[in-house]
Formats: sequence, C-alpha cells, structure tokens
Amino acid sequence: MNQEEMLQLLDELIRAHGPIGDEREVEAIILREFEATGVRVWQDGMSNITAQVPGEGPKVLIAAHKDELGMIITHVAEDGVLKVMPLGGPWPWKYGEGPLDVIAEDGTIVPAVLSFGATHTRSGPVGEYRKGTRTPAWEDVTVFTGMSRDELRAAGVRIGSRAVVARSRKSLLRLANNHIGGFAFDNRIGVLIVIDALRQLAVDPAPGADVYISAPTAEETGYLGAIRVAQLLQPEIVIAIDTSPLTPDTPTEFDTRPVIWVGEPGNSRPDCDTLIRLADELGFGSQQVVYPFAGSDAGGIQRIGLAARTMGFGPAYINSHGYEITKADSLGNVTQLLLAYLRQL
Amino acid sequence: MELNRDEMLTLLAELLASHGPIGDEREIDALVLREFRATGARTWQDGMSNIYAHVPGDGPRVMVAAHKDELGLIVTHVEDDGCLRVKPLGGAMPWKYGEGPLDVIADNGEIVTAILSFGSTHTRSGPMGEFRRGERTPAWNDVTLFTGLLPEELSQKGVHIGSRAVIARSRKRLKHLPNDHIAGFAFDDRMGLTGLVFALRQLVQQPVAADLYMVATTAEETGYLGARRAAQVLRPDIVLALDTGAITPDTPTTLDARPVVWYDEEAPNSLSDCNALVRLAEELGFGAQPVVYEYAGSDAGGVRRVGLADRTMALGFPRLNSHGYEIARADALVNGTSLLLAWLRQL
Repeated sequence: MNQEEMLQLLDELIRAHGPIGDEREVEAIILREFEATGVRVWQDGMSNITAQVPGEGPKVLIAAHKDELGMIITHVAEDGVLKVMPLGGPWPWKYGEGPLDVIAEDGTIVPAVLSFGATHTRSGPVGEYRKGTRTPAWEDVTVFTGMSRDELRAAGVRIGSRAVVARSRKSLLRLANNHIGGFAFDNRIGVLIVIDALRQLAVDPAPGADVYISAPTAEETGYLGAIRVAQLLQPEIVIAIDTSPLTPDTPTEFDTRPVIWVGEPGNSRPDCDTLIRLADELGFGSQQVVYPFAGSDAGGIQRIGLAARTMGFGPAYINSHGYEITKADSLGNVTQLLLAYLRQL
Repeated sequence: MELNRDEMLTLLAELLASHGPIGDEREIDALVLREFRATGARTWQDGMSNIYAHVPGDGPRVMVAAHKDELGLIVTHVEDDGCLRVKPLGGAMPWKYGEGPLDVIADNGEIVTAILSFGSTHTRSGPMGEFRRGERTPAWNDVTLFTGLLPEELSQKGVHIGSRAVIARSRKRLKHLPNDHIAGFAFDDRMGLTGLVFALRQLVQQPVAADLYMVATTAEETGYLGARRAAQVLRPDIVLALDTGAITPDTPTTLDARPVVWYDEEAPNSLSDCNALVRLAEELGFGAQPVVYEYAGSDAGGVRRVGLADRTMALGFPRLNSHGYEIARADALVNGTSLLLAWLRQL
C-alpha cells in the first residue's frame, strides 16, 4: 500500500468500533481485508481472526490486537443515566466530556454523553477537582442518554453493553508535517500494518516460515486473545506489532524509526539484534526501548511459555491510551521491517 | 409572532460552530453583527467589541445582555519543538476537554490545528504517575498543545504567545439526543445569544415601553468586563442577563424546559422583578425554576456590584455539565426567550 492508501484504511479502521468484547464493526473490516488476499482465514469462538500464509520453516505468529479501549455499563438508572467501568486502561480525563457511542445488542449505536457535572459548585468530586486534590475517576462519571430505562431496554442497551468514544470523534486527523492523530491508534495501526504485510505475503510468501497473521481480542485486558491463539497454534516465534509509546522514563524519541521492545521478559535477544541490523540495512534504523510499564501480546505469550522466541515492535507515538499522535512516515517502515524479518528466516 | 424552534436551533448550531474565545471573537462578532443588522435595528460595535442594537421606546432604559465570549485558552510559551503551553481564559478545565483537537487562531484568523496532550499513560513518573495514583487533578500546567510545526513555522503562520485556542470546530457541532435534548460545547452563552437575536427580531416589529438596548457582551467569563463597560456607556435603569441555568449538586434545578430565574448570585437580584418573571412563566404555561446560586455569576450581577443599574435580573437555560460539554432541553431555549419577551412587554 502507498501511504495515502494506508491512511485511508487507517481512517476506516479507526472509525469502526471495537471496544474489548464487542468488536463486530472492526472485525467486519479485518475479515474483508484478510479474505481479499485469498489466503485461508478463520475466526475462533473467542473472536480472534487469523490468516495463514503457509511455508516451510518455523511457525511464526504475528499479532496485532483488534480490541480498543472502551467502557462497560454497570448501572442503568431509571432516568436513563448510566454508570460505567473502564475496559482496559482508558482515563476519563483523557476523554473529557463529550459524545460516546453505546453499542446496543443488535449493533446499533445509542448516542450518549460522558459527564462530570457542573463546575459551578464546591461540592462533590468537582469540588475536589477545583481544589486540585482528586484525579477524575470513572466512579465520578455519569453517561447521559436522554432516554428512560425502558427506552434503553427496548433499544437493546443494558448492563454489560459496551461504550466507546463516539464515531464523530474518531476520524483520522492530518496534522502539519505529515503527523496524524486520533483515538485508537493503539492498535488500529498494528492492524493496518499486518493487513499491508499480509497483502504482500499472499502474493510473495516468505520462503522460510509458516506465517500466521492474527488480529486477537482482549490484548488490553491481559493478552487473552493472543494467548488463546498461541495455545491453538503452538508457534515457535511470536511477533507483536503494537504502537510504542514515548514516556518520560524511556529515551525513545519521536521520529519515524521503528521502536523495538527489547525489555519484555523472555524476549529473544538474537531476534531483536536481527531486527536492529535489518532496520539499519533498510536505511531507516530503529530505536530500542525497555518499558517499565508497557506490555505486548508477545510478552503475554512468553510469560506462560507458549513460544520459544518473542519480540515486539511498532511505530513511536505520544499520548498513549488517549488521543494519539504519530508520524505517518513511520508506518511503512514497520511493514518493511516485518517483511524483511520474515524473509530472512 | 411565534418563536420557531427549528429556526432557533439552526442559528444556535451556526453560533456554536463559530469561534469566540475571550478576546478573539472575530468569528462570532461577524455573525452577531449580521443578525442584529438584519433586524433593521440601529447596530454598532464599541472599541472593546461589545455589539449593541437599539430599539427606542418610552420607558426605563433596559439593557438585555447575552455574552458572546466563550471559554478558551491563551498561548503562554512556544517550546523549541513547536509544542505550545497555555493558560485558561475563563473557567476552562483540561479534564473537561480531554485529549483531542483544538483550533489555534492565527493573527489573520486562520486556524492551526493542535492536539491537547497530557502524554503517555504507560509510566509511573511525573504528573501521569500522580494521576494514576489519584493524587491530584490534571491541570493546565500538565498540558501541551502539539502542532507538528516548528517554532519558525508557527511564527510564520502568525501563532505566538497571546494567540487564542479553542475547542476544534469539528467538536462544536450541535448534538441532538432523544426526547428533545441537545448537547454541545459553548452553549454558554450561545443559547443566550440565540434568544437575544430572536427576541430582537420581534421587538423591532413590536417595540415595548422601554428604551431598549440588546447587547452581545465580551469577557463575561473573565469578570463581566464587557457588560460593565456597556453599562457605563448606556447608564441603564434595568439590566437583564440571558445566561446559564447550571444544574449543580447544591441547587434544586432540574433538566427540564423551565427557565431558571436567578434570585441571587453573590448579591441579590431585584426581588420584585424575579417574582414577576416567575409569575409570567406560570401564566405562559411552562413555569420557571427559582434558584439561588452560590458559585455562578452573570453580567447582571456583575453590573449590579459596580453600581451601574437599579434593577437587575438573570434568566437562564437549565443545563448539565456547566463549562464543559453541556446538555439542555431544546424547549428551554424557546421558553426562556418567550419569558424574556413577556417580561419586556409588561413594562
């Protein structure tokens, strides 16, 4: 894909909803894209989607999670005001007040508004925010629908229904100097990259590897989908393609070099060295990072002994778990690095 | 003449989409001037940017105010990497805005897109560490605005210390929710401005027993400065402000279509006028919500406290989430405007 095609597909992926456990919308796009390549594609009972490009060599699982951060309804009041809990690690102060989409049973969207309440007060949580003593928490939040509990029930909204940032807030934003911004870059960008890689592998398979490309669920709540896929596939090698946050405790710089996660427990150091060498040969180079507080599907699989060699890499980005920003030029570099790695096996 | 609800909502949507952060109100000024002038009333703008329309008549001098400024941000630093640091204008709160697009307004009025950013959450250091531990509230000092531009590029585009920023236009659309609810940023005080325009249209056709000035004021959010200036110039007998009807935990206000009548806002408004408003609302059939606000203020109270009017009152539209993404009943917009007209007609 050229960069413009990538960005258009990324926009489509971002606008499709997939809060953990209700990923129907994004699955439709992934199935469409995977199946269009002509390779064998299947979806398991947990919703993980996998495509295989067969080859002679070690079994390689490439994981780019399809779930995004969201919320789950915990209470429905009689006046239709909802309470929610987070799914994965979203923060209400990162979302701010504004439109959410509640996903009804049949997939239709019920619009809602994340609310903290009036600021013209010194009482309650907002009183504490005004004093600066309390971080806005999910228990302080109400979600306004304007519907009664009966109307919500008739519309198929109940405790357990998912909510996510409204589609109107989820378009890909183009910024100056080829930066892009948006919610759910984590991990629609990973999904985009593996679609790009799959298209190329379907036409020109890696000669020395039996490649499985998977979009697993529930990465954000414990790598659950990837772990299930690995249990079923029993891969030799696992590569997680995920966005790589810039944090104050790591030296990662905001540029277009793929960021290679060298610090997840059990990561394969020789394979990380190979990635670093390949990135140099490709001309764009790489950054290495040891994250104290980030994890990937690769690490999740390694920790329970379900692969021999694991690694993770992806584009550098800022504002993790919020409105994320990356450089568009970094996307193609990650695809190229992934393909170069597979082809040297 | 009936007030047309759909037409009111159409104007409200247009007003919401136009920017007017305190002190850079060019976009909204253009709309207000257009609407005031279209009524045929004598219209002018003072050196502070307040916009006036005059409907002459016999009776007390009445100033009706709705403020045109909205909450926003002002650039305080341009960092070496082109990120901007900001201070709030008025009571904007970063946790109400969240991360996402803002419009920075350049000198020539063009928009430079920026992203309100708190940084990555995958850390335990610094502010993020404190937020993860729930220790303190995200503050404007914790925020940078990412533009993707270098300092030289920003300067060339006319963005610098002092430039204003406001929620991006794409986020300022009027949202419709079931059961007559509407939602959006900057309802404060675009709902009041809408009421002001629709009332003016009727008053030009059917003047009342008052020397009437409709004023779209600036800088209400930073101390009622525009209204105070307008009152110095006009010397009104009576000031009525059309502003919020914030639903707060310490008042009995509810989200319905009844206008809110402010009996008190740090200093009491005119008791008999407030009583008259409540009575008229009953007669009109929709009723009103009397309120005593401890932590809200309006242009009316702002003018009263500097001795620039005899009688003051404030009328508001009941709304949730004041100073954020607000929610109201559309019928409240119509009812509040009807009440304003009814009160003017009984002078």
